[in-house]
Amino acid sequence: MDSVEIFVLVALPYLAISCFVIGVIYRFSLWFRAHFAANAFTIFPGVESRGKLAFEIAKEVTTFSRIFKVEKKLWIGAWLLHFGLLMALIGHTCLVLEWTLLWDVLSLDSETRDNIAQISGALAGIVILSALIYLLSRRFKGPMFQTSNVEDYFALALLLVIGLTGLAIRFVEHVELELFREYLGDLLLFRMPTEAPELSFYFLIHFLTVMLLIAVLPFTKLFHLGGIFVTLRLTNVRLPEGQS
Amino acid sequence: MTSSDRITVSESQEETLRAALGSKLNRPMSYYLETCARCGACNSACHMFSITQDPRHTPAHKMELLRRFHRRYFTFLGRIFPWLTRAREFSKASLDEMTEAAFECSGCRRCAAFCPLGLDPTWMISASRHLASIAGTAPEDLELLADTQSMRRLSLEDFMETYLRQIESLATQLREETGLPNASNPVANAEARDFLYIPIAGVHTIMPVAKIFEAAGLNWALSKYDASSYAYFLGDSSRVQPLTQAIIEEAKAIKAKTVVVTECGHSYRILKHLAPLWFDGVPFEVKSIIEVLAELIRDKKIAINPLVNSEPLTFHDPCNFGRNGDLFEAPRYVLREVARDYVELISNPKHNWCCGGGGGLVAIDEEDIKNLRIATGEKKAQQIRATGAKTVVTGCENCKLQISDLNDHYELQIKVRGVMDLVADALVIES
Repeated sequence: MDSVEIFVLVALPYLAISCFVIGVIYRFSLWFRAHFAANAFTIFPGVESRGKLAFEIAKEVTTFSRIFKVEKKLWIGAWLLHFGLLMALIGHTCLVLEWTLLWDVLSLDSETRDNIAQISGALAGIVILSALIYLLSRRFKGPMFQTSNVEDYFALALLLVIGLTGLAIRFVEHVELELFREYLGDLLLFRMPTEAPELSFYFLIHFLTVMLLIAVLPFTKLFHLGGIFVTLRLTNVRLPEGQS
Repeated sequence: MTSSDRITVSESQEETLRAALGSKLNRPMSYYLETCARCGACNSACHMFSITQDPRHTPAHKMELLRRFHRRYFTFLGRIFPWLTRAREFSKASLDEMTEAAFECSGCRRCAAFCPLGLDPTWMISASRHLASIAGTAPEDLELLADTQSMRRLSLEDFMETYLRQIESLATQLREETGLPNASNPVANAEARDFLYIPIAGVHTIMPVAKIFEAAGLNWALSKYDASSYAYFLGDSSRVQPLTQAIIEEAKAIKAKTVVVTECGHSYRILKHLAPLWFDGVPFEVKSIIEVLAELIRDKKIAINPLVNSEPLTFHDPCNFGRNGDLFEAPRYVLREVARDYVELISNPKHNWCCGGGGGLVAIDEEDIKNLRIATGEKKAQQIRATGAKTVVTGCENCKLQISDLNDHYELQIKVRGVMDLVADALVIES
């Protein structure tokens, strides 16, 4: 590996992950340092038991039912985006490990597997991109334009670049999976990778933007990913347990 | 940047406002400020924006105006690159804009009921109102009403003689009307009583209840205080708490087991849900008058003739009763008992539309605000029309005044009543 490769493929991922971890700790420490509030939070009727609360949070996180009730178009956009991102995330786990068990259970040959991966990856990409384009266009008109910040456009644009280059890698370039697994495996075990994936054009952009996403996530609105679990609890729990 | 954006506030005022905002940054507020993704789901949930379609009326925007100050003074990025986060300094223009937004909100929390992230925008509205009050940009009417209430509490003795005389004459009137010989001046003195009833200004909140309580033979007292706190609408709990404390002390002095709050939305929320948190618990139960009426009917302590209320009627859930107060069942039970033809206004009362007058808007005597609340009350007018009800019953003074205004403006041809009025009408007094 030459020095550019070491910087991009070794230094940057560690840097991004460090930013992420520090950011998450920073965010939560700021929150937990803030003083308690003697106030009423519940949107009644709310739920009483922990089980029901967990169910309520799980329901909201997976179905976005509240958006569905008030704005159908936004629900389609928002749900598809998050679903697509989840699919992409799951799909990307094959960069680290082989889904041997799943393939064995389904008893699929390698050609079918590749086809499934090809199609599902493309689908997830297209779903993500369509949702992003809708959500971005929504922010250019009416009340959303007035409310939106640079941060809102930045987050959507960043995901758009990641999605586009991701699709380009799938269809224009080729990733040597085995090689990639070895490389990521080394990174995970804090070993210097012996061989590096080729820094082709789309891959490089995809990789850099993903690193940027990981690094800035805790410092931006994207951290609603973490906040939602706390805030949904606050307004759903039936009565304030003293303070929160 | 407009010219008024350049009209800055003085350094000391900026520091005062910064400190006031800082004092509001408790844990939930921090979650809310930093978790909002500005997705705008709340926009469609808001009755104001639904009607006006004015971007300034979206909850997301109203929150954003406060968040811009927060970013400017409390976040790294906002301090270094204000343009990147649209962070904004306190200036005449920015404060005016925030004030207008905060007082063009009825604080009904319907947006919070629909926020996919579980945030409560009214926290930010409340903080904005508090900043406006400090900056001197809040509506004068509310400031004046809040100050008058604080003054009355401090110099209660000056008012007492007149008050006692008025109540004495009401007691006489009650004896004459009902033939209940024992009805006497119920103003709280040192005697121990089971119930302490807290009215709001106006005979209409005292007479129906006095009639019912006397008929039921309750051992009750009438509070010397007004249940409402206008400072609550200014986001200023430091001015609300002394008023609440006075009621608590009064209840303790007569060893009241139950404090009964009249039909007033925010007072119910304050006494029921906030007072126990502010004062580390209270030594009595807090109930709305409607809950007490439900119990009196259920326990057959009073006799009712539902034939008196035979026209179709519906119930409007005040936001401070329903989604903010957990009082869904009692009014429905009472209305089904005292009326013949009760129809629901909405299938899920948690999602009821605001009448448009909440958050103290009814008390602000400004033309713009009045026009806005009448215009945005259209949602409520549509709902009422759809039921075909001839009487709209509700349990909050704000809602009653607002729905009466809607009745005039939209020619709904309805009567607006309180739950306690209907019970008093249907009451059968056995001599």
